[in-house]
Amino acid sequence: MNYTFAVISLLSFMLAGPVAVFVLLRSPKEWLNRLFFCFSTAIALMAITDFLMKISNSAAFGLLCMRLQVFAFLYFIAFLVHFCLILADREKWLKNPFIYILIYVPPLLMTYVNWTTDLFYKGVEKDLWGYTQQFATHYWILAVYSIIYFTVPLWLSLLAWLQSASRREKKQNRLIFISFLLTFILATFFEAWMRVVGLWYPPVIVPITGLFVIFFAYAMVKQGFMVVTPGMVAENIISMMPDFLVFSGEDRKVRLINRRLTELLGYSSQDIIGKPCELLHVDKQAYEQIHEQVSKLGLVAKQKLSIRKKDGGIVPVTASASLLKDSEGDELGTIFIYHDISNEERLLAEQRETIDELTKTKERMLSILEDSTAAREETKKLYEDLKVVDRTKNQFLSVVSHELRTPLTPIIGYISMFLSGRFGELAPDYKKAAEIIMKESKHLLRLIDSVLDISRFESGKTMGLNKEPLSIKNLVEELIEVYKPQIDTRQLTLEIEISPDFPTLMADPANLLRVITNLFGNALKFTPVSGRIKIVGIKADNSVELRVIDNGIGIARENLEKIFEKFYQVDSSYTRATGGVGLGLAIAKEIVEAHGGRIWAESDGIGRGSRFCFTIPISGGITDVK
Amino acid sequence: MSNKILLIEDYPETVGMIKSIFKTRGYEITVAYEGITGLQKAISEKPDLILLDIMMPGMSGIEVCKKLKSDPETSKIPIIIISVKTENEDLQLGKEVGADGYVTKPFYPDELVEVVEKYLQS
Repeated sequence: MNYTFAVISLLSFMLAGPVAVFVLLRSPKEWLNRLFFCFSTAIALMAITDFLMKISNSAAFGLLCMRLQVFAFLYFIAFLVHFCLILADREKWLKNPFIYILIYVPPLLMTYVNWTTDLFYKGVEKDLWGYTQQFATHYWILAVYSIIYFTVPLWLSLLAWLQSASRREKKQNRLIFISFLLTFILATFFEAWMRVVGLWYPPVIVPITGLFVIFFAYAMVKQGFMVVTPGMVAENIISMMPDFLVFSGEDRKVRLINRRLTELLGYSSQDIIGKPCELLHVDKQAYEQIHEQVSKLGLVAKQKLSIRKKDGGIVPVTASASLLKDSEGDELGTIFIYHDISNEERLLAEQRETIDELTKTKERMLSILEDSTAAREETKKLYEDLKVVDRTKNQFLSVVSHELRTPLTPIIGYISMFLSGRFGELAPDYKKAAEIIMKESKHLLRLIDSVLDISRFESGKTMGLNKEPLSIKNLVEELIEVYKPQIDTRQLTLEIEISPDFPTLMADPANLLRVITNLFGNALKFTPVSGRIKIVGIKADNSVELRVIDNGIGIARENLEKIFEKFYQVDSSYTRATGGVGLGLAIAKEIVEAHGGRIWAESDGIGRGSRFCFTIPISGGITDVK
Repeated sequence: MSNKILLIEDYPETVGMIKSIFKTRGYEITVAYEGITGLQKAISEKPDLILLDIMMPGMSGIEVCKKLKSDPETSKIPIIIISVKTENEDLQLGKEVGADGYVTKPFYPDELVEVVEKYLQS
C-alpha cells in the first residue's frame, strides 16, 4: 500500500486549516476575510476527507468521505465566486438576492445528486493509493459544472486586476489571478483530463487547491490586503498621531498608550500599563473633574492641564476625553487625548513678552514725546516772549523816529528861513554856521530814516510802492545835481551813458531814487580822489538795466552777496567814517525786488573797482500798490 | 482874497515856525493846539484852508479830518496834513479820510508854501 497521496492530503489540510484561521483572526469583521476563511476551510475539509478516505479500511467509510469531499469541493468553488464578486467590487450584483441563490443552491443540488445516485462516481475502490473514487458515466457533468463555476472567479479576478486603482492593488490582484489560473489549469489538466484519458491515475485536486490557498493567503497578507481594515487604520492612526493617547479601563488603570506618549514622555509600556492613570496628571483635582464630566456628559473637550513626564518634567496640554462603551452600553473605560501645547504656550509667553516690551517702549516714547512737547512749549513761549520784545523794540524804534522828526521840523524850517534870507542877510560866519546846521540836520534826518527802515524791516512790513511813469534819465540828472559839489571837490570823473531810446518805466520814483542814490553814494564813498565813476543805462527786451561802475576799493569775491544783507559792512570801521547803519544795500535790494527786478554786485577783487547793477521790468514789476 | 489858515498842531515850536513862514506873506493864521478846539475853530472861524497835524494828544488828526470832511459846513475846506508819519500807508490813510494834501515833517518852508498856495488858488 502506498500512502503518499494520503500524506499529501493530510499536509494540505494541515496547511489550509491554520491559514484559514490566521486570516480570519487578522480581521474577523471583514467579509473578504470571512469568505477566505470559508473557502479555505472547505479545502481543509476536502483534504481531511481525502486523507481519511485513502486510509480507511471499509468501502462504506470511504464512500462517505468521498461524498463529503465532493460537497466541500462544490462549496469551495461557491465561496470563491462570492469572494471574487466582492473583490471585483460587483456591488450591484451583490445587492440582488438572486445571485446568492445562483451561488449557493447549485452546489447543494449537485451534492444531493452525488449523495443519492452514482451518476458522477461509481463508488470507491481500493488500489495502490488506498481507497480512490471511481468515475461513472456522467462524471463529465460534474467536470463541466466545476469548470463553468470556476471560470467566474477566474474572469472576475482578471477584471479586478485590470481595474486596480493603485499599483499595490494591481500587484495583489495579479497574484490572485495567477493563482486562480494555475489552479484552474492544473486541476482541469490532472483531475479531469488526464484521469479521464487514463494517463494519470491518482486524484491531485486536493493538494493543488491546498497549494492554491497557501499561495492566495500569501498574496493577500504579503500585499497588505488584509491589513487595511478600520481597526488596522485606527491602530495606525493611534500609533502615528501627534497627540498622546491613553485608554484607561473602568478601574482607571492605564490599558493602552500610543507610541507618541512613550517617545515624548519617556515612559515605557511597563512603566505605565496597569498603573493608575492619575499618575500622569500633575493636578489630581483637575483629573477628577475630567472624570466627573466624562461620566456625566460622555465627553470633555480641550481642558487645559499639565501632565508629568517620567523624569518629572511637566508638559502643558489640552486634554480631551471620551467615554468608551460597548454595543450593550456598558462602560469599557475612558479614552484620553492630550494635545501638547508647550509650543503654543511658549509662543504665547514670547508674545506676551514682546507686547510687554512694546508697551514699555511705547511708554518710554510717550514720556520722551511729553518731554519734547514740554520743551517745544517752552521754546514756543520763549519765542513768543522774544516776539513781544522784538515788537516792542520795533514799536519803540518807530516811535523814536517819529518823535525825533518833531523837533527836527522847526530846526530845519527855521534854518531854511535863515539861509533864504527870510530874517535878513546873514554875516558870512553866521551863514556858514547855518549851512553846517542845515547839513547836519539833513544827516540827522537820514539817520532817523534809517532807524525807521530798521523797524520796518524787522517787523516784516512789505514795501508799498507808489508807481508812476518815470524817466531814469531825469532821475540820474537830479541825482548828479545834488552830488555835484562833492564830485567837484573830489575831482572825480563822471561819465553817463544812457541811450536816448531808454524807455519810461512804471516805478516808485522816491524809492527808485533811493536805490540810485545809495549806489551812487557808495561809489562816491569808496572811490579815491580823482577816481572815475560811470553810470550806464541799457535797455533789454522787457527790462532796463542800470550800472554804477567805479574804480574804487573793490569787493572781495566772498563778500559779493553778503553786502546785500542787513546791517552788513565789509569793514566795520567804515560805519562811523561813512555814517551809515549798513542798511543801504539791503533796502536797495528790497526796493528793486519789490519792483520785480534783480540787483547784484561785480568786482574783479580788492582794489580793482566794483560794478553795481540792477534791473527793473519795463512793465513795472509784479508787485503793485495796494 | 482867501488867506485864512487854521493850523491844528500841538508842538509850539512848529506852530511858531509855521506862523513865521506865513506871517510876511499876507496870511491870517489861527492856531488850535488840540483836535477838539481845532474842530470848533473850523466851524466858528470858517478858514480857507486847514493845516492838520496827526499825532496829537486827545483827538488825533485822522479823527479830526474825518469829522471835518463829514460835516457839510466844513467839508469843502481843503485840508493839508503835516505829519512825521512818512510811510506810504500813512499817506494812503490820509487820502482815505479825505485829506487833500500831505506834507511830511520836516519840510522846507518853500515846499509847504507851494502846496498851500496850490490849494488856495483852486
